Amino acid sequence: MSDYSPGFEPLEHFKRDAERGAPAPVDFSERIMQRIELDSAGGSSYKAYKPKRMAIGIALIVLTVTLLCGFTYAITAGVLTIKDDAGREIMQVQSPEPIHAEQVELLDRIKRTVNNQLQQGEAAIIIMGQDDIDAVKRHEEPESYYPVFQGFSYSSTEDIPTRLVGHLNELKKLGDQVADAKLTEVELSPYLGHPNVLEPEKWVEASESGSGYPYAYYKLKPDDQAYMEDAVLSLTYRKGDSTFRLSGTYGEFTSVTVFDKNPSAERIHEVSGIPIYHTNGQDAPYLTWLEPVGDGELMYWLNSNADLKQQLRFAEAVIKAAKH
Amino acid sequence: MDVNESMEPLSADRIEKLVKAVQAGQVEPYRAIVLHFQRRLHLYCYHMIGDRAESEDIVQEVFLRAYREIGKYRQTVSFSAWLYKIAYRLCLNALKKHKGQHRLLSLIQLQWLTAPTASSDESADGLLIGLSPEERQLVILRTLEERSFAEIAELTGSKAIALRKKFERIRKKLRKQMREEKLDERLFPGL
Repeated sequence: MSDYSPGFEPLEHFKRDAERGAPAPVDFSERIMQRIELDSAGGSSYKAYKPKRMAIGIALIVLTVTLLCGFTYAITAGVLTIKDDAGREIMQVQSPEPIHAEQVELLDRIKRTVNNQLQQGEAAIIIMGQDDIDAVKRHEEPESYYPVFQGFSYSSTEDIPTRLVGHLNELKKLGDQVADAKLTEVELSPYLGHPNVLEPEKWVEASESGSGYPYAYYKLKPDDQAYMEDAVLSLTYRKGDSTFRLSGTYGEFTSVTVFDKNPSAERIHEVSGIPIYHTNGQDAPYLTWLEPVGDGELMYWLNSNADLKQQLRFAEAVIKAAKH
Repeated sequence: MDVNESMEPLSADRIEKLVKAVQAGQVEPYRAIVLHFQRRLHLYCYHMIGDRAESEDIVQEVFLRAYREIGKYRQTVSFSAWLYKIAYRLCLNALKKHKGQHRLLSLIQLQWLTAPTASSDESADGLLIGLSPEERQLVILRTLEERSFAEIAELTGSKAIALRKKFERIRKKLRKQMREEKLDERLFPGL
């Protein structure tokens, strides 16, 4: 912004920049018309539509396997791609960045410290490291950020406030018993938004007592809106010594990324036509899947100490209950 | 700014006739609709999400979804407004998709999070970074497409007077942001 002056008009500047940096014109008409003709000839709807960049998947055709249920997967360069029966990518499984145990412990300590300062219904966003603290103060996106909550808890799905949960209401269909496991707790967590839009002067800076590592947090009291479509609902069920913690959120996820140390097609399972991925080799293995609802999908995670067979039975019960 | 400089603009009446033809089962008239809107929608999506490759994907999706759902379109709003509503929704989804992944991984404490994979905000000097999608849309429609508040009201479903006030608030917010940036540059040169 070198041409700044007190009378300077930012939107004029934006317009000039936008005109100078505009992307080159693209003629979409041919590809759109071809796509329409192709789909009309096949008698299908546009469910089969695949965005342009996904075309790269075609090169991987030799590695693509069609499963009995219709969805496919391809694996290349350590990245596993799962597609639905219409050829649309729904999940990508890839290795995470290396994580040092000390980093995880440090984060846990800081989260606990901040969480202890919250009242029920309050939340906070935590930023770690001086670089990220400086970034949010410049309204820039930090490398990472971590929400913590003192969310609302309920003891029955009947108690979940309808007006707050939007499409997540589908989860109420599960009721207080799933596959012989009984509900013990329901937690509703809000969506807090992006940290770079928060007011810079309201970040509280601190350092972790053991290591002196700098962090900052921003306390929020989320309004009702934060509990609408972007909220996360977690239901904990128990059967004997087994605990099943199911988390769900609604969104229009064109594709989601799941992190796993060793992405493997062997850990793709199918339940009622829905691919479920079982992460492994991490501290907290879990099952995850997407289920179409309305114009978007409900995304689920299942954390459990039960064996895989029991977890899949539980997931199946969840999928079947949601369909009724 | 004429965002469709290579195209002979179609009148609103002409567009509605083309839409009716498509609703009646003809396919080819849809090409003229695509040609008419493609450049402005491309720029709109690009500035909304700040990513060149993804904005192209979204534009394609807008036109395909609009074609698929064209039977539902009624002339209670202009076709342009209807099309922009689809585009806004898809842009919003693209923005939510990335932050959604980021957020949810954190929520269930699976791992150390890495940077978001998209929304590079490469457009227009990052001025729109701190704005909400709704504010971005207003700035794009008003500043780049030079639409009146009445037109934007039709596109967004908001009231023109509220949009005018909101636009002024955004203008002030951006001025303040720039003043602070300038101050930072003076106090911390080289940062």
